[in-house]
Amino acid sequence: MRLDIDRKSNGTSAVLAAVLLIGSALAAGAQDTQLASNDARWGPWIGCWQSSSRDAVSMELAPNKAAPVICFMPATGNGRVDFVTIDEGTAGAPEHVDANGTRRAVDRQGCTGWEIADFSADAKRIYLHSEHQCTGNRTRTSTGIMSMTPEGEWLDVQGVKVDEHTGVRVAHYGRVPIPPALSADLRAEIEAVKLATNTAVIAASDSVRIADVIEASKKVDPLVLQTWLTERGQGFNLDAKRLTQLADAKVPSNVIDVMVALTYPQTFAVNLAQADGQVVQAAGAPQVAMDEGMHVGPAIFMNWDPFYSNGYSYGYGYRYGTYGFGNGNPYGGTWYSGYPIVLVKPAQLNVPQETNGRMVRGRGYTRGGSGGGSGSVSPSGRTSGGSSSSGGSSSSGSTGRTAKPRP
Amino acid sequence: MNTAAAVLIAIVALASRAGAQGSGKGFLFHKPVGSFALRGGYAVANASSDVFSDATTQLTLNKGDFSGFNWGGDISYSTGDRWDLLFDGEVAYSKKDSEFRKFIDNDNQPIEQTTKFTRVPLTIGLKYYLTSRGRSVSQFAYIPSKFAPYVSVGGGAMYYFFQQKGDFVDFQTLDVFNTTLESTGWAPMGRGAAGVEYSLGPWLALTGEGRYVWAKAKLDPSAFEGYDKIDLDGFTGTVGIRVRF
Repeated sequence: MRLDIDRKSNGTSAVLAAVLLIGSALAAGAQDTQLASNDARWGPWIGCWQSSSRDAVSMELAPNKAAPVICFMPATGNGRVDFVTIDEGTAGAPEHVDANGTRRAVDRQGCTGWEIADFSADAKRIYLHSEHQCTGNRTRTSTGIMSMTPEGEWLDVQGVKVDEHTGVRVAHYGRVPIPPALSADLRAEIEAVKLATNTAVIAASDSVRIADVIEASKKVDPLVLQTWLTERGQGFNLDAKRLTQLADAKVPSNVIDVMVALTYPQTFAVNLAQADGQVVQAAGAPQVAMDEGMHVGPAIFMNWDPFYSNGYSYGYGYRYGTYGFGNGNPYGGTWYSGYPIVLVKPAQLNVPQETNGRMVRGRGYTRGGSGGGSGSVSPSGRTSGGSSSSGGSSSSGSTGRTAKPRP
Repeated sequence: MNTAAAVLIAIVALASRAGAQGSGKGFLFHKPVGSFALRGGYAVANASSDVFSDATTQLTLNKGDFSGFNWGGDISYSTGDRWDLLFDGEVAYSKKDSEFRKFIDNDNQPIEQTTKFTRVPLTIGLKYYLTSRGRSVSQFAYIPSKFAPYVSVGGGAMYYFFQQKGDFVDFQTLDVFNTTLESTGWAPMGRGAAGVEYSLGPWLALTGEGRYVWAKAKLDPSAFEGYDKIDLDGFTGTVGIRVRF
């Protein structure tokens, strides 16, 4: 059981990997039958994906250049899936990723540490966690959630924390047809499970339950969980009992706030931007700027993420750019720096505006203002001339209706 | 009574409107800043001073006749998790017709009069909840406790009005004469109370409270000459509605 992304660079390593897997399976015996079969938990991800249009604005692609496509194929092994990337019409070599809940040691770019990926209990989410000690005696931790949205998108939320600085990145990927560049055998692997994949997507797109939030709160940073909930935009059937359940489970209060806000959109609005309202894009220069602002150097993301791996240790990442070095990020996504801010909508947005009308002796009813220069209708229905007046002010709202004398 | 019912309906309507914008299912979007309450009940007057004794001796009155219905309310502001600063006011009112126990007039008719007794305590006090009255689970979620027992103490001033109006017997001449005897004034007072709140919803709670007030006031010597201070003490039991805001 380990998190691993390897490149099947040649047949020997593939055979070796297979032998090791078989050996592991034999050692584990019948207790872990998943080792000897495809892991259905990856089912929703089987197929080909590309950055969704909403993230396209953050890409820095050359004109007429399409975003890369990644295709997942079923793989044998617990938590394992194979994938191939297709960039500019060229398919790369098959690789695989493991999300089996085991720590994997990492040593790269001046940072050492570990990373881990694991499925949720209901297999609808993948939780990610890494911790690195970097030069300058800085500790860098990162957590994330991969999941399917109700719309069938692959939603990827990652947060990184260095010292007291925190940021989160959101990326959406949409399912795309299998590119022609993918080999026939790999295409066949995907198409062979197409119906199962569709079924898995539907199952994984199910609404988030209270128990899911509680589970996720144990796995990821509150900022990541807040952002993930906000991106999904789903309300909850919250009542005092469920709120107590959340609090007793030590779900962070700011996460509960987001749940409340999503449940009562008529009262609350959630702003994922920074405190000053600025949204920091993930792509290229803004990312560098953010990193400089954090004084932590370039961003390094967990290796499990095939789109965002820097590739120095895993051999494939170079095709995706060295994220955070200012070379541009062709895979989109949006960076949010700081914690989501839950805003209370002003009450007047929800309540019909009342006019500051008055009843004036000798003049009848009038609308707002102090005297005003326009005429008004007397109680008898006659219109009197306006009189000049200065000073004072009164706002009033209009119903859009008009009145006329009775015939 | 109709006015009271209208006020109660208005409060519930106000709370419902507030609740529609400021609460979820069984919880509030913020911790209440305070609350206000309307109560109704019965105020039992101690009526132990000599002016009451004389009245009950001469007239067909007993001590219970100085007790009556009570209406009141308060506004409280939270000063801590369990503490409230309380501004409280109420009115206890009684009215009883009577006649001389021992005298009738020369037409064999009773000699009748009416006695009114009103107390209006106005106090500022502190209220302490014996258990947690609610739980903040986040910035935007506050769950009021189902039950919240409390005690409170306070001090202030009590206005009283004591009036006997009608026909009286001049014990010097046995003449029957018509007059109005009344005394009003203010007196310092103290009170202690204990009660419980039962949440009907995030904004509304049912309250039940018992309180005792202590006050004694001078009587107007022009009407009640030579009497000791009038006893304004008494126990009050009330139920009411509390609206959080």
